[in-house]
Formats: sequence, structure tokens, C-alpha cells
Amino acid sequence: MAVTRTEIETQVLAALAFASEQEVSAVDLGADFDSLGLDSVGRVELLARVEDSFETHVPPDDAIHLGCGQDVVRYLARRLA
Amino acid sequence: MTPPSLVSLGLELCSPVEELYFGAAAARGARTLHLYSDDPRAEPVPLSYDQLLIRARGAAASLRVKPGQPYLVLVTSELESIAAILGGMLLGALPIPCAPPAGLGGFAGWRARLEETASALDAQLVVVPSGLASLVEGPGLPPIQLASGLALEGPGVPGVEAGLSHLQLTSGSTAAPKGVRIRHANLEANLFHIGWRSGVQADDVVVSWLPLFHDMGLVGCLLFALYWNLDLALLPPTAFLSRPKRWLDVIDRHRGSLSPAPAFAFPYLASRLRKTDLSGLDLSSWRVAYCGAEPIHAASIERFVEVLRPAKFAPGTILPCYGLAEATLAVSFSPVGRGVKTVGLSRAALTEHRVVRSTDPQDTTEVVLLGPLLPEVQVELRDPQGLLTGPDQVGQIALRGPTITPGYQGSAPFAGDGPFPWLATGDLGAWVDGELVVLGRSKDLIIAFGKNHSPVEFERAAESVSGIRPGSTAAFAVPDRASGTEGAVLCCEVRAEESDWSRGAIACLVREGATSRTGVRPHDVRLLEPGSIPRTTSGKVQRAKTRELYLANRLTGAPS
Repeated sequence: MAVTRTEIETQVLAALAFASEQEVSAVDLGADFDSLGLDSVGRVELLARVEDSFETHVPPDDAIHLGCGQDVVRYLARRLA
Repeated sequence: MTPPSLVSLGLELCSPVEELYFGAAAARGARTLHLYSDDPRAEPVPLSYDQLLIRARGAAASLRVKPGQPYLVLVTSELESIAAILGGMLLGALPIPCAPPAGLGGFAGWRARLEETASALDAQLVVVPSGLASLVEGPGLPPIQLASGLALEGPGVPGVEAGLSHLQLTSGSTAAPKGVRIRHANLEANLFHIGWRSGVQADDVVVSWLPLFHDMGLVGCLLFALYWNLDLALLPPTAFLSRPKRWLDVIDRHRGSLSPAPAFAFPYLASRLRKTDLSGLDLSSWRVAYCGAEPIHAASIERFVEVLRPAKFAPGTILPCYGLAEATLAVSFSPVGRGVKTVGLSRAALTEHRVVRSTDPQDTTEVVLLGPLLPEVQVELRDPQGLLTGPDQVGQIALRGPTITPGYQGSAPFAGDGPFPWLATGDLGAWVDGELVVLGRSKDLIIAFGKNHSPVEFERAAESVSGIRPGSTAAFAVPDRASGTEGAVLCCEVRAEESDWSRGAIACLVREGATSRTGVRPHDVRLLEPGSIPRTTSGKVQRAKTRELYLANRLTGAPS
């Protein structure tokens, strides 16, 4: 079943808020992961959370190029459309 | 003498290197490697060690390097990567296991580190899983060979003497990547004594999620299991980091008995477990959980033990140990079954490099005993002038013995006379009740999540931010008891003309830049007025002195 872009944004925001220990309302999808203070372990956890949310696998050679929440949303929208 | 053969497949071992890693399998019947993937639903792929030898021979026959040549291997926990490392060893070439990308983002920093490594160690080739080939194309890296293109079998390379085995990447106090030159003789000595001191038994099972580009994963798990011919279950590191409970599930499933981890992993796992996760889990087979690679905080380990107790995790399972890549892996081991033992030492006395027991809560730091030395390892504790320290004094730890490696690739060998050189570890230690304790470092190094980072990496990231005074930054480690690892602190002098408003933005940029470059989020970024950071008479930043002032809260500048 196709997932809407809004649903993707909501889930990615929630995952980012959890990983960066912020309120959802405070998370900027356009902010890169560095500015959210995510270290290398945090980025692995975030990826797993996103994969679990959408029951999908993001290959590492794709994942390494996704530098902010918006990148993740665009990628998933393309994959899950 | 007829070499031992792997009877089931009619293979005869054809070199001293093959005998070292497959001799036990040949003598006693090959055990099995169980390879797990990131997918939690996927079943592991089993492969016996005689079949692994065939794959490694295939890799040796098809690797496009010559004996003695260094080459990079982007190591995943897939069979192709393992064959690419072992194949190089059988050939007499020098594999350099490197970290693959993990998690979201970070391509530029990862690629830059790989290029620096290739250049510093003169790598002639990069062996890469086919899915990652696009990440290593282009200038700055040597030619690519796909791991999936390595031959599945080969004739074996006869007569390869047990010389250099591989280069172990490590970060020293400088930014340039260093490759520790590990000899097979170093490995043989260390692997034997680790097993002997662990009371290794034929039915022991090793379980590991540790990366194979880390010495604890490559030497302590893969080569250890091969040398002793023990079953081995391997999980990708990302499988543990993203779903930590899988470590326990695999131990339960395989009745794992030996499973090591860096100190951070124990509180990391404990903090992510729910009570229901332990339902039905039986960890009673786990008899040794080696714990090292970074400073050990007793309280976080005790919490782990308490959390796992309902799953029949025995309190004595944790085995604190001390080691470093320059000594192949292990230097000292606590006794099996004892668990974590601490001693209270006077903080005041330690600042004067003296070891005095203390029970005064205001003046006591709990220090974990790291056990007696492994056999054949010699330790000397020395003062800054190189003279031996007296009893009950803290000194720099120097090591000598058959496990001490010859030095770094491209650098002068470790100094010393006699058959073995002395290695100055840069760690500060002392003897307590006949056991080694590590009390800090005289070298500048930040160890976070089991990985060594040079402070220079943090400082360069800070100095690339406009507003930070060049050559006026100091990065150092402080204990971070919450995470069970170390935190990096960055102290930076700001140009005097910067306003309060711009200072806030500068601190954010420093934090972002350092996280991006190192993968470690600074614990604190402190912006200081010009002239605040202590320097030597020649103008060099004194990191240790800056750290001392920071911990005493005597640095002027608000935390960001």
C-alpha cells in the first residue's frame, strides 16, 4: 500500500525528535543531522527507526547520502510511492 | 612431517599461516561460522572452517595485490569481506580492515578518512562489497576490486611464512591514520594466552557483533575462534547498535559462552532493554564477557548485571581487561568468574601521582582492577623522565613481550634493546594488589564508543569555523558516566571582535563540524577569550593543562 508524503513526514519527524531528544515541534526537517547533534551511533539508531516505521531497508550506499530529514522524506517518497 | 589435513574435504594445509589459523580445525574437525545479517528476520548462514579455508584460498588466488603490499578492505560482516582479509593473510599481503559506511548521512567525512588512510599507508587496492562500489570510485583512492568477484576456491599459496599479518588502524595523538604492524607471531602469542587465561574449552562458542576493522572484533573474535577452532556467531555491528537485544538473542540461541564488548556497550544495551525483552531469555551459557577498549565505569557495569540478572546472567561473567592494538590486543585479564572488582583510591593523592587507598566519600574514586598480566608480558611504570617509579606510585605504562607489535607502518620501530622492544603506551597506571589499574593517559586521545579519536580531528573541525582563532583550540576527553564512554570537550579561543550573538552561532558550527568530522558529538564546547588556553613556552597548546583547568572549573567561558 502506498504511503502518503504527509505520513512519511510525520514518521520521520517523530524518529528525528526521538533521536535528537527534542519535541517534534522543535525539529526542522531541513536541518542536517550534524546540527541536530546526532553522532555516528545516533545515526545508526535513527536509520533503524526509520526502517522499522516503514518496514523497508535502506541500503548503506543510499543511506550515507541522506544528510537531513528532508532527504530521508524525499527518498522514502520515491521508494514507497 | 606430514602437514595436518582437513580430512573431510581432503585439504592439506600448505603454509605456516594456514596451520596457524586452520591447524586446530584440521586436528579436531572444523567448527562453524554462523553469519548473521542486519535483517532480524533472516536466518544465519552457516559455514564450516574447512569451507572458509577454501574461500580464503580463492581470495588469495584472485586478489590483485602482491605479497607485502597493503590494501584496504571495507569490512562488512559478510563472507566476502572475511575471505578478503584471510585471503590476503594466506598470500602474505597486508589487509587493512576499514569501516564501511553506517547509518544516515556523513558521506564526505567518511570518504575523506578513507582517502587519508589509503594515502598514509600506501594502499594499492581497495576491496569493496559490490553494493558499496559507487562510494569508493574516483580520484583519491586506489583501484577497486569487488569482494563478490573474488574466486570461490583456489589452490592455496604454499610456503607463506608467518611474517606480517595485517595493519590495524588506530588513531594516535596526531590526525594521520596509523597502521599498527601486526605479526602472526604476535597474534599466536596473544591468542594462545587469551584462550589459556579464559579457560577455553572445546565446546565454547564465541558470539560477536564487534566490527572486524576493530582489533577486538578481528583478533579477539574471528582469529581467536579460528585459532582455537570454536564455533563463532557473527552479527553486523549495526545490528547491535540499531537493535541491541539481538546480541542477547544470538547468545541464547547458540549457547554463546565467550562474548566481548567495549565498555560502552553494556550501559548502552541496558538502557534500551524493556522488561519484556528478557522474557524467555537464558544467558546462563555466557561465562566470559570481556570488557575493555575504553575506561570502565563500575556503576554502569553493575547496572547492566542487575538488569540482566532475570535472564540468568551470572554477576561474575564480566571480565575487565586492558589492552591496545599496539600490543596486538590483550595485556591483562581479570580472573574468570570474579566480575568487576574495584578499589577506592584517594583523588588528592592521585593528583600527586601517588596511590593511596581511601574510604572518604569526598576524596575517593572507584577504580576497576584490570587483573594480572598475561604470561610473557612485562610491564614497567615510568615517570616522565623515563625512570622507574617506586611502589604505590602512578607511572606511564611501558610494555614488552612477544605480543608487542614491531611498530607503525612507515614509522620507526618501537624503541628498545633485546629481542622485544619496549612500547610506551601513553597510558598511566599503577599496581594495586598485584593487578594493573589504568588511571588516565599521558597521551592525548579521546576514546568514544570503543574507538580512538585524535584530538586534532576535533580541533581542525573547530578551527575551520570563522571566528575561531587558528591554533587556539584544545580537545580532550572527560569521563561521561551517563553513556559509559568518554566525552569530548572542545575549548576554543574566539576572536575578540565577535559579538555575543555571533558566539552562539559559532558554538553551534563548532559542534556540528566536530560531529560531522569525527562521528562523535562533543560533550561540551567552551568558547574562551584570547589567551585563555595554556601554552608551552614555545607557544604549543597544552591539552592536559587545559583539561585540568576545565575539570577544576577554572576556565573562563560559558558552556554552549
